[in-house]
Amino acid sequence: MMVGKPKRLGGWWGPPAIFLAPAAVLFGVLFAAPAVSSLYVSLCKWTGFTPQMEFRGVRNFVKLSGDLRFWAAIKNNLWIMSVGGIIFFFFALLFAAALNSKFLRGRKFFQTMIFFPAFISVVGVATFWKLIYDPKSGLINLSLRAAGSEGLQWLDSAHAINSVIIMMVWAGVGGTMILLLAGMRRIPKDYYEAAEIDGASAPQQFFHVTMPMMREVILIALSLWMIGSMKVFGYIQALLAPTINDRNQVISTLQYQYAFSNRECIFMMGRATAMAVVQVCVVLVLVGIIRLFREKKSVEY
Amino acid sequence: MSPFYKLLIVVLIAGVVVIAYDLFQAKIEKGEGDPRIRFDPATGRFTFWKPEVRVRIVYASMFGPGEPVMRVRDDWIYMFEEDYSDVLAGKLGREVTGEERTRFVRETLKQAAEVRGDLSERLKAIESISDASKKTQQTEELLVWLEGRHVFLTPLEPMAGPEQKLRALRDLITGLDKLARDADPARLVRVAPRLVSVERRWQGRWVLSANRPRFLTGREVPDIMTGSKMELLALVQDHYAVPLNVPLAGEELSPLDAPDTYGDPGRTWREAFLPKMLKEGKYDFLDDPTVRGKIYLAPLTCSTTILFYNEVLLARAGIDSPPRTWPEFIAVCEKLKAAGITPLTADADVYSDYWQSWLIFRVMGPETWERTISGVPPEKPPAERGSDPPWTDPRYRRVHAEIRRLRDSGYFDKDFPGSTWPAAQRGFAKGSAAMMICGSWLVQELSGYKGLATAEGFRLKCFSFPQWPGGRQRDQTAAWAVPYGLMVCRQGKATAGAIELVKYLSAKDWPDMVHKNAQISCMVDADFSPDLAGIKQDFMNASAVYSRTPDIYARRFGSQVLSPRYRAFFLQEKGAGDYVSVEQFLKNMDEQNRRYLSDGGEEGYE
Repeated sequence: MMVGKPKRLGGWWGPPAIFLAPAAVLFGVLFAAPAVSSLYVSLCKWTGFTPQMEFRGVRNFVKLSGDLRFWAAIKNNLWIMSVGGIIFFFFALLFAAALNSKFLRGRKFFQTMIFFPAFISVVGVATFWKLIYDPKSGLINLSLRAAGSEGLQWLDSAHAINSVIIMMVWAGVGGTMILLLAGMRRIPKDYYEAAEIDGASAPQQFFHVTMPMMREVILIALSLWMIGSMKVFGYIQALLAPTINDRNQVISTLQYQYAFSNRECIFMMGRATAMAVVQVCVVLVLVGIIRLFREKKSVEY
Repeated sequence: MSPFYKLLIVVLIAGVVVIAYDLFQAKIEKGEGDPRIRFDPATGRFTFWKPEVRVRIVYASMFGPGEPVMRVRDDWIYMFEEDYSDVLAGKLGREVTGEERTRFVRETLKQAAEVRGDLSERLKAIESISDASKKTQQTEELLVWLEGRHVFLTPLEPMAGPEQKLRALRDLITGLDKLARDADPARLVRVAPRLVSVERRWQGRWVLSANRPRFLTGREVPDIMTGSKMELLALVQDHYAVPLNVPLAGEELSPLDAPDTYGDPGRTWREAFLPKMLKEGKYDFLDDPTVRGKIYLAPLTCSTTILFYNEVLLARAGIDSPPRTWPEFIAVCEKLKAAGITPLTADADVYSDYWQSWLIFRVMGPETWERTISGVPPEKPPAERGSDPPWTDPRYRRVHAEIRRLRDSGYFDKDFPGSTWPAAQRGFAKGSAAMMICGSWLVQELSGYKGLATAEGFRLKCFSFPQWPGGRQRDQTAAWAVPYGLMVCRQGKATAGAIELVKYLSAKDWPDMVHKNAQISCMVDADFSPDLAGIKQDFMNASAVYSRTPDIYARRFGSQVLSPRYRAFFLQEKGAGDYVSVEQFLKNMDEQNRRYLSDGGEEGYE
């Protein structure tokens, strides 16, 4: 059979351009243009109610650099990302490894149970945990008190962020677990058999076979977690609003308060947009760092 | 076809169906082309309204049908549409007469006959129900169903029982039958053109943000917005609001000086308001000469910050009347504590700043506080002003020492630093503590707990914030109230009609409805809510109404500087090993206030 070179319609760029055009136009009009114009807003003084903006140069960024609440918010985001990330990935890997184990019975059942919180909306999860964290009638404090302990103020300003982390891990670990599990199941059995013949124990197999083979999947899950934790909004807003203590703000909630909150009515669109710009930059840098760890050549099996 | 494509097709079809249904539903709900039938149960008379909408008023409200605080009942709006249509019809000389009238009545009766058939069946079903609560609920549902078909029973007593409503419904059927039998039904009904329509948009707490794009583009701007004085400030600041004490173009009298058309036409609309509350509709604190002296907000109701107590717990500690002065208040706390009752409760996230505001009001008055925060002299730019008195003044020290005392003496529920709204008020209703400071809306928010109002449980009472012995007389007898009301927007298409609607709502059932919902009305004719009886005397006789807290005149300072620091002080948060003492807090506030002024005050905070 003769395989002829497929004939192109109108040169190299023609067909792709035709097919890409609708998406590109939508992307440009609905995403790229507003994103670029928000850069301009971040350089202005604006309440958001009048069409006129006053151009103020980098003043918003200068003010932002001296805004202690903003730094506290960034700190909280980084805390959630790092400490929360360690807990999150510990459990995600643990559950994935457990579910991948050939000794486990009722795998489907556990998988569904662990994944279940992902079905619940963010506000639902937060409402549920708010009841659990209630200092008087909450499940945790009731049990702690029954056990003779004093109980803890889970939602006071000193503990609230950690309580949020617990909640986020509970709600999100299932999704990441599924991702990791899919990665684990792709690893051919031969490697494990070979390792077993060589006398590697189960933990050794995990650290020397599973983990390196899953590098790509883990890096993707890690990027998703980093982006998610830098942008987290719903969990905090739903658990701690209407008035979030300054020590518990994250960038998104503070930004929301500056720009939209009807409670304070300060309507500082300029500064809030400047915050968004910084947030995007932080996310870009973090994702860039993750990319450095990716291997040039993907692992083949 | 692969399963993927099958799924895709199913999803697409579902999407199309949902959109089509939505459009269809929107068309039904609009229903502006349908004639409207109104039956007055008291007189048994019918009015048929012929739709010819010329004025469309958009009413954007924070409070929806589910929120009894300051909400507008549907039938008031319908009544307004009709009453104002009559006014306009008189002005325009539009009447429905002759052949047009006969034909319209005949067509409308056809529509009514269809409704009548369904109605009598539904009515029979309801009447056979024996369970009283189910009967009430189904009667309400039937009335809503009827409104959906543009048949209205008004005016109906707002608090009419189900029996009354069922009787009115039976009368409606009899009346319709009578019309159907009559040779010339047009003779028996009033026929009028409906020239006005009010579009209501319930937009919740975020009514301002929700309408922001509309103000920006100038399209679909609501004619009326509801909210508190503070929330609506943004509209005044950007010159979107219509002043009510300035005549509209082409008018001689300003709306406030025109007669109170829908209330008592013998007086001006201005006279329908409590003077001390109407005064609060101004935004003079904005540094803007075009705003000064103008009343932008029609204050219809207000909330006031007071102390609530559970009468049962106070009685158990042997206290039979609430305290009047601060030392008495402290004595009550001590007595409660001695009796093993927690005196005070609070949520960590909200309302604790009321202690500070009230104590400052009582000890030195709100003007003094404003001189500290906004600096003096006011004519100079902020950078050249100074705080007088500064935060380190002994009076501030006294105020904050008292706040600290409440905490240090163990009056507060020990769990409060970890409680977030509404945990504390829920606990309060369950008897966790004897008193809490809150806004008057608490009555409404705890109304669900009325079931607990037994002799041994929860009896909610209130008293005014204790007086400060030795303070200025005016400050001791002042009330602190934040007005809520309606604002008319300049870019709206129906400004004159919108003002009429505001007047109508201020006159009709609103004052009555407000007090039944434990709110305080700003109208002179309104009764005082029995749930707030404890503060009636103090509120009505108040020498002044204070509504000026930093979150009004220095919002950015209030939200960015004061409230976070105050909260840390109140909760005694241990940050990086520091313990916020009164001295530290005031010193820090003093520094921050200086920085705020030298940065250019509110304007410098963009």
